[in-house]
Amino acid sequence: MTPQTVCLLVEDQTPNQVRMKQALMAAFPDIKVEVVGSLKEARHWLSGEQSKTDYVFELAVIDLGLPDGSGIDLITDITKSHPLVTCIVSSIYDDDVHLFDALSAGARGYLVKNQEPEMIVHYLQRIKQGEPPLSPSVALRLLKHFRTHTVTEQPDIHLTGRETETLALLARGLTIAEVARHLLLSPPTVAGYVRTIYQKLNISTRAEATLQAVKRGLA
Amino acid sequence: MQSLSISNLKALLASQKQRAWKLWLILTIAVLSTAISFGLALQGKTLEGLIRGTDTLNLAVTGHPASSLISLKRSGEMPFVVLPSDLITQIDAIETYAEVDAYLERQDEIMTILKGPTVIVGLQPVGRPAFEAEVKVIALRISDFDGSFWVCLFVGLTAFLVGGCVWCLKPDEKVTQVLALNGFGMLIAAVSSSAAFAQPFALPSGMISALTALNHFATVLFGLTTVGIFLLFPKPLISNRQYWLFLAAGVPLLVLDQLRLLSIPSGLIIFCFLVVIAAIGLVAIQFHNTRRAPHLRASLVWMGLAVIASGGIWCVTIAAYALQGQFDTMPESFIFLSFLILYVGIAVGVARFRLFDVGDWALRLFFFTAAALLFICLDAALIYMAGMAQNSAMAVALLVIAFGYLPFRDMLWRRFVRSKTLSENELMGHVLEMAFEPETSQRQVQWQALLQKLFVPLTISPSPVPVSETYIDKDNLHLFVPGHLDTPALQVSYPQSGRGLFAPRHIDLVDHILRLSRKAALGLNAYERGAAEQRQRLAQDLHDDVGAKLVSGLIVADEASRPFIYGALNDIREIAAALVNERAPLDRTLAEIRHEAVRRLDAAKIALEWPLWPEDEAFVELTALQKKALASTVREAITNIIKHSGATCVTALFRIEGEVLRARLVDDGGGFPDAVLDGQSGGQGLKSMMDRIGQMNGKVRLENLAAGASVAFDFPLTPASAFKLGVHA
Repeated sequence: MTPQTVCLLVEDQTPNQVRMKQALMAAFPDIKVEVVGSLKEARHWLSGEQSKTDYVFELAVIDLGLPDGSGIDLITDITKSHPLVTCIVSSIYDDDVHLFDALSAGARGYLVKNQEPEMIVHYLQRIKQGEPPLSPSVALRLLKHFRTHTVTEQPDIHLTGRETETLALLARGLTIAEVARHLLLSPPTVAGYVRTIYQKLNISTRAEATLQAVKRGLA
Repeated sequence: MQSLSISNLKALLASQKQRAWKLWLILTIAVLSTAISFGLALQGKTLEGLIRGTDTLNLAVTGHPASSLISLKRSGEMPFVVLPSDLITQIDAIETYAEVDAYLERQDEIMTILKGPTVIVGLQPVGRPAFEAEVKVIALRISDFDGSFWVCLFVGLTAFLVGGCVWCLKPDEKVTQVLALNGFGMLIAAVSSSAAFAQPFALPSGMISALTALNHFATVLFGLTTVGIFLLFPKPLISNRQYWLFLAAGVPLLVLDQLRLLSIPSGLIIFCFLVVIAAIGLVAIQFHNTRRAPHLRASLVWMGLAVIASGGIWCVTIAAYALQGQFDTMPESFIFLSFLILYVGIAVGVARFRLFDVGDWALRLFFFTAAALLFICLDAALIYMAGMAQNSAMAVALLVIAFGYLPFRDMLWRRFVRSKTLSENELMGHVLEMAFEPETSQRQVQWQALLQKLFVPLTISPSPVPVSETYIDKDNLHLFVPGHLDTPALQVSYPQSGRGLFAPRHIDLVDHILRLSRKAALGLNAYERGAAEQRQRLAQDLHDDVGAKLVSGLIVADEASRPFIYGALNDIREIAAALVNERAPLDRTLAEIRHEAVRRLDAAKIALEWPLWPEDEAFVELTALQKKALASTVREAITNIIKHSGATCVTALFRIEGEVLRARLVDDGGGFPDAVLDGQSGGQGLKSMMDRIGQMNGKVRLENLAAGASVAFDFPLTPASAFKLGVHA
């Protein structure tokens, strides 16, 4: 018997907790949802989680505006300590800046709270299937980021031609399936590109942060 | 102005070598001439204690009051009676050649008597018997020189140095060469007059004859070159050959004069009259010729004014003395001064130095001259006609000038010089209108209209060179205005419909306007920033507070009311965006809308055919309101399709036709109920769709197809209508 999948839901407001829990249950009927209301509680749960073996920690849905800090820090932590966990942001904010920061920290998806429950369910399923959603404005931001941030010398964080093409098409409003059709590739391949792009963003952001720190004599 | 003088200086340094010898030549001639003048004047002799009046000689001998000198003799000889005619210093003023000869003979006789160390003079004190006394003959000292000597030398030297310097500055122009010759003529005239103007008792006849001949040569040279300047400048009226022929005409004239064939000794005075008349006539012709060349005309106005002022004074003075029959007592040295006006005027015109100011200065000078002439005429009229005493006549004349002429002059001044400027209020009005104009292109039009109003230029064009500060080109024909408030730098050319020139005060005016409009724009920016911040806060509050409460409300809401809350949340987001007034590129907006539609249809398992927005389509920006209308309408249409149509496939088409955005969403579903198509019913969604597009001056059309339905809408993209609507909304 495969161990049960567990999802960490970090959300401080009860109505949202209930709503998101319902959506998660609808999207993944077998999932066990662990609800916490603050960064502190979340970190506490994370520290105890490793010793348990009766379930697999696979998914984290994190609100950005938490009473004791920003969810982005938590995403950074989880990405480092649990690289296999998919972090999804759930936020009232629907702007590029918050989203981009979350993606840089290692988030793989972004849910805006005020969408219809069916849409949230749909998104969650897509993410789980390995199709990270990417809005055109974020795709544009990513393109710009990789075009201008060449401060690091590592070649592995530059985008390949295919990845750039994928981003450019996403920026024009296509879905991953449509991009795949356009480029004569399979949807999983294009979804793979997007995940790679996320990783590269994460790496390049961290590399950049390190570089900045070195420059300022902090590291 | 500064750049002009600097560039002049640079040019001067660059060609210093070739100019150096010319400058030295000019200075050497000036020094030599001065020395010769003094040398000649110091040749004269006088008696100790002699005081010369206009036509009297007075001598103060110790023990006697000052008495008039009536005769002169060497001891043991017959006395020589001194006549008023012996005291003439202007041989040209003598009316006949016989009198000239007699004058020269008597001058020699006086010189013979004065050869000894002393002479015996006959003196006639007032109301007492005449007596004789012995006085010493002495050489004329510098302190004895008459004032006219100094005036004459000053005029000669000034004219020559000014002419010489202009020639050194622009050695290659014929007109400057002629001007230098002209100045040289004036100098020789001065030098040749110096011996007589120093007013010794007498001069040897040989010297008088020689100096008179030289003076006539100088007069002819000066006269012909004066006319010659206007034959060449500003526009050549005759060919080179004709010009030299014209100058050569001076030779026969001089020969005739020296052969005494001009019938009277003062023939050259008539020549001078003719020169003045010819010069005025040529100025008139040149004025006509330069009507399309404002910078040339400006020099001409200046030169012409000088000719008229000096020539006029000269003619009036001579005529006055001639009428009074006192021709021989005319103070010729002061006539020289009037020629200096003429000369300096011409030199300034030719050198074109600071000509941008000349227009004003010429008028100022004209008014000043007019005031002076009026004063003299009034004074004279009151004395001679009304028989008033001199002092009271002068006072009355002054009062009349002060209360009558000066206000009149100010009125003329305003009319001719200042009338073209706008009042501060009008200016401010224009500036504010321009600064508050939201459209750059309109602002540019207004700015050009203002410049047009201020300067009436023939052309206003984008400046071919970058302009960092307002300046005028060297010829004063073009004004370069820096860009401001997003308008480009401009070149304003040929002011006053090509009749005028730019002056430094125009730079001041433009700079003043630029300062005003920058201030206005800063004020407007500050206001807009404040308003934007307030809107931003409002948007933030709306989004965060109201949004959060609605989200909380979702949990307690039932399934029926939940969609309204989602709708409200969406609206809040879009209203917040509209409040912040973000403009968005059309292509990105469509990408976002497509992204949303494709996801929603995907979730509803409906296929979407939405061709990519062409990448080469022109860049179009939507206002926040247009963006909201577009996004809401497409969202609403998609909602309808998902909820009511039962379609399996949707096609979305967008295109720009001229200034209009056209959109069409076609599905293969069941179509609209007839009641909806008739406009009798239809949900809140359809109604708000119509409202939104209507507010953008657009239209929505619903129709049923053979299979399925179509929602088409369009609205104009012109910013003006959007702006208007923005005010309503």
